[in-house]
Amino acid sequence: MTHASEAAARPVARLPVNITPEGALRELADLRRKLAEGARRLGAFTEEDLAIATTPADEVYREDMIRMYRCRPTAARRKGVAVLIVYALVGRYQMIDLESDRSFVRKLLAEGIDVYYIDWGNPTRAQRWLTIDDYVSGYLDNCVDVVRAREGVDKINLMGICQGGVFSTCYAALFPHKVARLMLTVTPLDFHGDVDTPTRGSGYMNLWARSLSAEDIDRLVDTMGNSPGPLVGFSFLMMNPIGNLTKYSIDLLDILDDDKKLLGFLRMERWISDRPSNPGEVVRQWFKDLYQGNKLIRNELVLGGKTVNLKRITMPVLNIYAEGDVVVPNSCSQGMKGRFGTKDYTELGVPGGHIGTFVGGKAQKVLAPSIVKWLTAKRNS
Amino acid sequence: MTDSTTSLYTAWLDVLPQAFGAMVPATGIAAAPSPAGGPSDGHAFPFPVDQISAATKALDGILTQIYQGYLPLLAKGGVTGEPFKALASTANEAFNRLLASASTAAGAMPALAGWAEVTQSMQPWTASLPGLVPGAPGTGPGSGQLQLGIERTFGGLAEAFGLGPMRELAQAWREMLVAGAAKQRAQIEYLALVVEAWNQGTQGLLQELQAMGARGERVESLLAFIRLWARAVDAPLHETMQGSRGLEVTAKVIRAASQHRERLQKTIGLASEALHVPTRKDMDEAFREIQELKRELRRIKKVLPVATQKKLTQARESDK
Repeated sequence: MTHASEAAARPVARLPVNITPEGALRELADLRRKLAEGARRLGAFTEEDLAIATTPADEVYREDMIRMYRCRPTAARRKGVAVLIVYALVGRYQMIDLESDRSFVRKLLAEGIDVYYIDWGNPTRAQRWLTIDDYVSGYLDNCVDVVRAREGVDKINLMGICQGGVFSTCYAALFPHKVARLMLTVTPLDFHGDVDTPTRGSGYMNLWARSLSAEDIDRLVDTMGNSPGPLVGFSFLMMNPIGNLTKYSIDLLDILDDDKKLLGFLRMERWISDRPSNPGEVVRQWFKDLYQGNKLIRNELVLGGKTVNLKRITMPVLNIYAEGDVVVPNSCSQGMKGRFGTKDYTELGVPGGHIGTFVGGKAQKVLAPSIVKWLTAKRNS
Repeated sequence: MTDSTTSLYTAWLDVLPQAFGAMVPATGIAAAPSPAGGPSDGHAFPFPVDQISAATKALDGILTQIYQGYLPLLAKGGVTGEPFKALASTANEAFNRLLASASTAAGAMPALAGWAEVTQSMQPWTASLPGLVPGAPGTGPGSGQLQLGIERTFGGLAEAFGLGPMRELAQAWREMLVAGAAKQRAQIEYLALVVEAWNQGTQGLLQELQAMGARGERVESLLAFIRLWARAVDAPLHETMQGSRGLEVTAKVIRAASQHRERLQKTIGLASEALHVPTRKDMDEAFREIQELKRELRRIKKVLPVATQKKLTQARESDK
């Protein structure tokens, strides 16, 4: 008997799929009804329903495309020194205040923390030459000075998120006399931390960046100028292609009949799709010096002619990482004790992913209270 | 909301029918209809309602196609693994053919799939440069050579009189087309790897179904079946794209795309120079100088109060 005839003679195994044509047609009709109903619900939402970052705040400083805001306090009693929140350039600051019932900012305000935050704005083609130093020693330093002057203090508390955490780290190392306490959240510090511990579905940006040559990065920046927001958005989609295919298709079926879930989804989408362009020189430096050269943790990063030495960070440091972070692998942000000059170093893992840390239900109960506790405890001691 | 905010939705939602089309054995990798505009066409709805509405519309079409595609299989009284294996094999063969045709792209671009459309879209340009562009139509036997000769003579004259860098432009145009073909090939190579990973996922799905059967479990709905399939594809896709080959083809796409962009900019730069229009390079230089001046101003502003204070102190001391 030949292989072909053997195969033909073999009985064809049935798969355990217990669906009749009639059942499938009924199911399809139900799903289509659900979709039609979902479309009707979608059409009923107003601009007000979908508004994000609604915590009242006042603009206190502006320079070029950047703006700094101070949130209006909500607590009767104020606790300690003001906190300036520094977000990443790859997204918008609204993530810290996405919805009123899952707003990180509102939680800090409710605890009596005075909150300032920076909106980095939308860099145009004219800003393609901005460097990391322009952000750190320029915009960020100016913002810190404004907060110091407004609050009448020498030092303020700085809190960085992701890329903003790297900027804050650099700032604290270059201007330690202006920072009382440094808080880092989901911040990559050791950009090669994932090399020895690769995890499936995690750390794509690290891998992509390392697989390019320095020449590739130069050509990319030279030809693109600024890195367009949609390109950054596309990179994030490609970190989880199947998840993002189902998110905009079959997973919608799970939320279309639930107004709360649907609104949460739409607000998150509103935030996630609003990606500013990134100045070309920042991208060049970020990829070559950090993703490829890992210069920050090695104390070799040079900004504006000055070396960023982490040992100069002698103020208390709180480093928070997200346990389920796949954008910044835990190995890139964890285990940093001894890397800074401070002896007062605290590391904390919180549930959730890179963004979920700030907006997820579980993480909401951990993040803000932990920060307030840390800030308050240090003040008392 | 800006164009750049919505453009990503348009691009990503276009991928949905292609991806789910690969789950329909009856139709192979043919795509379901692309999402049309949202139900709110013509009305202003808050962002991103239109985009998500378009996604639900697309899903409606996708589900209809999938369910209709499975009806003949279900009508036979049971589903076997054969149609899925055939589907994987068809997809592999289609991409292998595409890759084979793309391999010759640099030498014979017209063989590349989709080349006819590219040539057609370039017609207004190629008509003005007959004989210079590979695949561009000539007007008769030997006309290409004749036109090339004319271009060499008069192109040279034009350059000599500073009327335009004709030859350089033509060469840049050729390089751009070659780089465009290389980009297309890199993209096909990337997609072929994605399809390979997808097929591994399909194999995983069949194994999972067999294991479910052995445990006495059954898939009771097509939606559950689709979800099972998506889950089965997720792991091999990550493993492939994070592996050395995945990273290599990703880097290749990025490299090819930026090389194409570089050639495109060179061509446009030459044309702009010929027409005395400021080039991208000119603009970049101007922006760079402005940025340097702003940086300098920032430094001065930082030191000014200190210097002023010193000056005042000195003035006060000299008064004493």
